[in-house]
Amino acid sequence: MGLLIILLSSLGGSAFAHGVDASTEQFLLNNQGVAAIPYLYIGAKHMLTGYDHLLFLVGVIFFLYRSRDVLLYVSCFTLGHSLTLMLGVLNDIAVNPYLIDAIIGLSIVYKGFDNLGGWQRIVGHQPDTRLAVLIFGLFHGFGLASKLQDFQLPEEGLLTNLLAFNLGVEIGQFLALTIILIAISYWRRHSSYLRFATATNTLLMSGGMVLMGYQLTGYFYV
Amino acid sequence: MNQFNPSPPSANTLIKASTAATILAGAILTVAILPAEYNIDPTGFGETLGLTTLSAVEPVNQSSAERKPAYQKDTVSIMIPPQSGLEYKLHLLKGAKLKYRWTTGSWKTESTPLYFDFHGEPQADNSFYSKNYFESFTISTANDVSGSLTAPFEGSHGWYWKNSSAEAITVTLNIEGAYAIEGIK
Repeated sequence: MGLLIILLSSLGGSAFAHGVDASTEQFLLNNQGVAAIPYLYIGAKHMLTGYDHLLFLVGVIFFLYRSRDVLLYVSCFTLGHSLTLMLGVLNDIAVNPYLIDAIIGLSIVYKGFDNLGGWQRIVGHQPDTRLAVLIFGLFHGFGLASKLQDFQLPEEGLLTNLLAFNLGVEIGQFLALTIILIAISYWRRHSSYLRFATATNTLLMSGGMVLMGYQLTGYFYV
Repeated sequence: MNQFNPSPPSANTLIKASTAATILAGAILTVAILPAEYNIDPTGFGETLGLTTLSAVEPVNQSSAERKPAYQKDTVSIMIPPQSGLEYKLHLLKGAKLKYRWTTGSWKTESTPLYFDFHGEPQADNSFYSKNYFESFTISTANDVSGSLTAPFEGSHGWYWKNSSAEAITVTLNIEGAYAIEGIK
């Protein structure tokens, strides 16, 4: 019977862009009190396996060549999602996960379009990219918060667990970023990088649109 | 801006790229994702490709899960009203083993012996046994009984207790084995 519940919940969970998997769900449901390391691990795993966050990061660093810039932009993103993750969970602000995930999809479309120089063409100038990354970071944070809020987290040790989860998210993001940067830096040495820059960002936009459509349909239909 | 974007694509490329992205996303959504995830299939392709079955089917075959109950342990308190009898049943598969112990009374009340009939009824669709067939394993009067049972057939197994006293009696039942609780009948 327990196995059946796990099976069912994993089916349900996979409907989300980055839901937590069954064993994690079991842990979150059963856990009482402070469990810093497990929360840290869940945070890191969540970030590393959340393809929507990863796609957005690819978009952000696609044209960032200097490590200082990478650090700056990623810090904006981190600041944004840390804020809303903490605020959301501590103040019990629940935003519909479908809508949040749709906005996360939108952030990917935005960044792909931005990389194609779309805003310069349309608006005539480049909107402050740091600000945009910060704002979308805020939405990503609500997304993270909504995943934790699905579980009635015990009040006891909530702050510690939350801080651990957030730290885990940063660790996961750092690891993901390292891998993406290594791959992109390697690719950059080849002329195909620039030749395929347009195609890559087109695909990025398309991926974001797919996520948007998927989540919006979920919002209106489910 | 610290960004280094060597040659921003022309307006023409931008339009082409955006259009291509939209068409690709739309195609992936309508052909694959919507049919597979939500059973929305405007083009009919989802059905042709067999994707709609992913969302149309109820997840996991319920009956197969019911047929293999997990090994479990339970303690149940059953109150038997004065001057009446009731049954408490468990569904067991053929050959399933059950360990049990039941007692009457508690720290407060004295243990009263109860008339009981420990028996099993085969599942209704079992054509080997006639209708209303049941098999009694133990019929006695006692206040503390423990034992085990290997189910002779798939069906409903359990106890009938009769309380002929003027006060309610609570039976505390401990069970262990692979069963599905059917409860009081």
